[in-house]
Amino acid sequence: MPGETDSAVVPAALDAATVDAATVEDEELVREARRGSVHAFEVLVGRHQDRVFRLAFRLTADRAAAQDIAQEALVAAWRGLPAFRGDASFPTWLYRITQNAARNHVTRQRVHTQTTGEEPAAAEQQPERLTENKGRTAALHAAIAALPFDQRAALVLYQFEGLSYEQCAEVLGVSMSTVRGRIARARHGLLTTMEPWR
Amino acid sequence: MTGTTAGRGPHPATTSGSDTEQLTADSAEDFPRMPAGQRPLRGFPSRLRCGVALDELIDQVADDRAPQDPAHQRGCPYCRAALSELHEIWAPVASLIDEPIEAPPSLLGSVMERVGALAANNWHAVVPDPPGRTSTAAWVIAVIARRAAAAVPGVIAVTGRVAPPVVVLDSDASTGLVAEPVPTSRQQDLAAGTGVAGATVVVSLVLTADGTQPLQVLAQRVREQVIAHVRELAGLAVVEVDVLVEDVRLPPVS
Repeated sequence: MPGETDSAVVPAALDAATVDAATVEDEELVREARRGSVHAFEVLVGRHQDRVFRLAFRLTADRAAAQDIAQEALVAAWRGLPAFRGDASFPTWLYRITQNAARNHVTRQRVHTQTTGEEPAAAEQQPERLTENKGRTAALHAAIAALPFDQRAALVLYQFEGLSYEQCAEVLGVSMSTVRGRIARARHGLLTTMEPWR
Repeated sequence: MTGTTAGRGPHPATTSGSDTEQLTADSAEDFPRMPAGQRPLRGFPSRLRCGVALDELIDQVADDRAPQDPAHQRGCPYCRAALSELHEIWAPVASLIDEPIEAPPSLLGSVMERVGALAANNWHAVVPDPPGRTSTAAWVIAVIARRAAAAVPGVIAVTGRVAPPVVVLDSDASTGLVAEPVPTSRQQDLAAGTGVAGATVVVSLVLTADGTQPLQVLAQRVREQVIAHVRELAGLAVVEVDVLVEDVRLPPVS
């Protein structure tokens, strides 16, 4: 079945920039990556790494942590590809993996703080502790990072990443009404914290 | 949110002085005080004097959407004052949404380095089974081969791995299985230990023998057993079984 075989395999040139990777749909690349094509997966990573990193950064307000989380999430995506059935879109699935990785990171950080007594990282600082000259953007980052993780994740996915309530529910594994409640509480929290910065 | 609209009270009578000042003063005095931790916003009640829920206005501002009741909002000083303040407080959040955030340049490389290492043992052998095809993960074939070898009398311990054949056969007369022609890109993948192999595999085993029989005889029995089991269970042709006898545990001399 030479013809069939050829059409089913991602061209080797996909990793050599001689083929415009933008013309290949996610679904086709996922299919090939699931069969073991590292090249196809590399194209997917290149295409989606910004959104993975962005979510990780907005959930932690810490670039170094975000890079660790993004790397962990993308490698986990490769490991998890055989179980990915395409029920959700590939980006939605990546969001789910990334927010799980971020949640694990934040949990580990909290346990570390509790067991060692070390000062919380900058991302965990309370907005009130920031000096005024750091400005309201820093205060806002800190205010987002200070929200409980569940609220933060819902807010970031909906407000910053532009997902619908339904997509947020899919990523977070909760009902749409829970998503709405978390977003409402997160908005209250942010507004309350940012009120003095008007 | 129609329920909220229905629950609104009458619009407020015209007040003297600034609407905003009046609203702030009323907020502090006229609404039941909530415990500090539960108050959603320090300067606002959860429901304005006109009856509109604060949440409704927050959603309007944060979602940048049209008001639920435009006619009311146009004429209501409470709503307009609250909206003005909410817009002001929310502005930095809105600007943060537009902030470009890109992955660091090193991310792709570091991810693919780890993926490459993982993929080295992540290939599949594929048997065409019209109207589909059956893929078997490399490690599954390795398990079958190792267990088959371990069952041969005289073998004490066995480790080993499977690999795609270096030279892919066009056909295998002994099994009747036809190996898929391997396109160039696939050969590159297989050379890197990744991708999809055909219906033929090479098995490499490392044995510890018990020393009760000649090692060549033992190795041949292992080959036969492995070839038979992998063919029976995975439908794959083992074209080569390399056996390394690494250790022998001789029985005590009586």
